[in-house]
Amino acid sequence: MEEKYFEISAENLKRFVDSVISGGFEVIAPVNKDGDVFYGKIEKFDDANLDILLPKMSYKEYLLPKTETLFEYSFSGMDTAIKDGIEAVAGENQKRVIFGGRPCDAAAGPIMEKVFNWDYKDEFFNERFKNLTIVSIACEKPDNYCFCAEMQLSPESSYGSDILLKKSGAQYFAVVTSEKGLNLINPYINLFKETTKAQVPADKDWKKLFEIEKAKSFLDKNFEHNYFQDRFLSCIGCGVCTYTCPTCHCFDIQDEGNLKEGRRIRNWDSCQFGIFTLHTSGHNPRVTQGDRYRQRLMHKFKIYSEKFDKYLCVGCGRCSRNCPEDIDIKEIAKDLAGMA
Amino acid sequence: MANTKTDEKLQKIAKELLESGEANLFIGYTKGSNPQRMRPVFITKPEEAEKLSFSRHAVQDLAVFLKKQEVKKFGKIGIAVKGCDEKAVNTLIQEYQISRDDIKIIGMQCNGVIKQNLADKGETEVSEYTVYDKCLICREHTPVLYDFLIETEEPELSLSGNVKPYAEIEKLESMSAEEKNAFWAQEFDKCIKCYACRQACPLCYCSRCIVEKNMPQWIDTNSEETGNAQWNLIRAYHLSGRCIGCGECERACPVNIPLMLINEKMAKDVYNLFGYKSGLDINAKPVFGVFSESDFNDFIK
Repeated sequence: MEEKYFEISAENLKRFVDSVISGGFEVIAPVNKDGDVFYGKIEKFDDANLDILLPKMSYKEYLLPKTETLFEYSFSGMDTAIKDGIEAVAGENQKRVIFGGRPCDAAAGPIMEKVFNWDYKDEFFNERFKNLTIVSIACEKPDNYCFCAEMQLSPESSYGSDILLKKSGAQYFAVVTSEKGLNLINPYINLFKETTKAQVPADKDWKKLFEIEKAKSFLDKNFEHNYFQDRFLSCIGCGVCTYTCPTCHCFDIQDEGNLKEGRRIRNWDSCQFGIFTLHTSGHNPRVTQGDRYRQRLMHKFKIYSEKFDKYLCVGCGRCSRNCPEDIDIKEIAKDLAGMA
Repeated sequence: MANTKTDEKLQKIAKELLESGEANLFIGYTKGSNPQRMRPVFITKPEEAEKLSFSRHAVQDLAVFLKKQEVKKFGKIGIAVKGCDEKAVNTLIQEYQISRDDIKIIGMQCNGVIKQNLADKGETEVSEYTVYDKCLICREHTPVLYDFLIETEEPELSLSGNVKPYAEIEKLESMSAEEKNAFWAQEFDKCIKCYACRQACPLCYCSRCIVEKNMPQWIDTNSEETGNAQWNLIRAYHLSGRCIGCGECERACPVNIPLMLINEKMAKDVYNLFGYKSGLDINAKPVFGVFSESDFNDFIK
């Protein structure tokens, strides 16, 4: 769809969100919770905390739940009944909006979509992804852990958002990029005033601290470099980087059940765990945390981009902010680029 | 930022230990990714000791690294530890995970570290409102065991009594079983099974954690009601009588589960039932590793 542009006042934005909620949508937005900010369901616009940069966790769980039932089975005499998990997922997210996330989080969706549709089409991911409506707000002040500009995005990028809101004085400009976005605003179109692209403030010239292509070219040639073992001696393998990451998507398939019934599920998994690559033989090709964090860098900045033409990192900086040992991925990517 | 006197003393000791070969590796803190953050640093060359620093932002428990294979291979290790973290070193010695002869303990006297989420927002003042609850109940501002002590330049923490550390524990104790269950069901619902609590814990050193054992599968793998409750409860039991209260599990938890309420409650019960506090004496027998005739249960007598 060709992008459409609207103006909306701050008061009307509040009315719009409240109307969407009373219209039967579940709206997920940054909310104050447990002393921090997380994505959570809001009952009204004012419940959302739009003053912060990013919630502690991403909203990945609405695309890839932390545990998902792929199918259930039960035995009765000689009969086996199987229930496909996709039945429970059908139509999920049709009535769900993520509101007030940032362009980095929004970009994670279409980037992950590539791996879920590469050889095998993952119907669970696809069903959720195609239905979820994303209304993001452009960032005005990224912090020192942010590096979306380096990751070929921008604090004002509309990539992956159905609607991107850009604040301008007391009002917002809404860039609508998809039918889903248009369908969301259509019932309340009187709150919006259509305008042209020329009226929307141009994106700022966001400065880059390093070239990600250089980091990649270092990774291309330096798999055995000492940097990884030395730098990641401080990594405790907690996996927080991967679990809070909007694009990390590894999962582990497990069976749970007994002689009568059971289910096959998939759970979030992490390349930072020692058991992740442990072979049945007892051999483990990734022995140290250096090996494991290198894998994370390789996957984000080299392997994924070679296969899917996009880096598997949106530069949100969550892994750095949340790392208990203060490993800063932006600093590392800059180091790598500097060594190239 | 310039070196403080504390930094200079620390650097001098580390340098000498590395030069003399009394330590092949020195684990300490250095300045982190923002002025209110410190991070672990691993020094093997005497001339790099100048990277070492210490401050009210030194939140990490560096004893966690003593369980890492990559660190163990260095043999003799020097480590900078606050009083709370030092208790983890003691427990590791007590449980035969490290040898007292292989470790040089540099005790960092400490009057409290600032909560990281506040520090990230710019907090720089040490007060009863800004430090962790563990600092408010701390009795080991001076570590109980050390080879070198570095005295603090920080003023003593003044306590008005307005902040009640681990106040929730009393509330929980007064709840009915159903209410407690509901409280924890809500907290464990947040768990994403990243196991950061385990990894950040200096005393979770099993080479193969029970959740990684699948013949049989003791703990459900799902990250739903059953799996999350099983995981958090089994960890609570494995740490009771052992947890030294450094709070790293709770600090690492990306979904803010108040894990220290569990650990402190268990520590409190162990003390009330057995008169035992963990991490204070390297020669003490672990409370669940011994039978004493004064134990309150008589089923085994």
